[in-house]
Amino acid sequence: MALAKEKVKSALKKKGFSRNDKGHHIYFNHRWKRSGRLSGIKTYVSHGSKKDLSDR
Amino acid sequence: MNIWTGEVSATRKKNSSLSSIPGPSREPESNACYTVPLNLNVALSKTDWTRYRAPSSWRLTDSLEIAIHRVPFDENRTLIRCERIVLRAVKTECGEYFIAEFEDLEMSLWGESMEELKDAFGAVLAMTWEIYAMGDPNEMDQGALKLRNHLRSTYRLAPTV
Repeated sequence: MALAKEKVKSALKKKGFSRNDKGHHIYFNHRWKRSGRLSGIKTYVSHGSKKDLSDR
Repeated sequence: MNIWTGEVSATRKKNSSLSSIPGPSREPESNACYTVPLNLNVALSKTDWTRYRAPSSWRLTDSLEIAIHRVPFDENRTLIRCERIVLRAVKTECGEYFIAEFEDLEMSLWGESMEELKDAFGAVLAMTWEIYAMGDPNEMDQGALKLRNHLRSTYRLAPTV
């Protein structure tokens, strides 16, 4: 199921991912809300394409 | 069910489940590589595979490789992996994307071309290095520390020559 990129970015923020824009991509690194520590969970989305995010 | 009928290379190990798969007629030397048809109905243990794992749900049709062991970090520095590696990528059935996965670095990558995929690998690795390998370990929990230690034992940051 394809997801709107903006929805995904917004949802990641709500889940505690901090955003880092650099180069062609937007990186998200997860921090635990209470301790503020990095959990090691990370992902990225592309800056360029306006397409929805595929589930593949 | 594995629906990918392409071939991947795997490392043969003594007493592994791969020993039941027909290999080359000559016994390979230790750690020699040969190709194993993926559609054989044989259980392959995780350790039998290279670091790339093809999720069967992605319905993959083709395999491609890019050698990546030196990744530019910034203008003056390069991340060098201790051992030479190959980025095993596959094209999705719809033909729109090239995708690759590195289990050991917890990376799932995609790109609209192989060049874009290679760039994505470099960019994600550099960002991961900056956040985790160069970050403050006091701000990391066990999962992040594990990733940090793995990165630091796998790569080294060296001046670009």
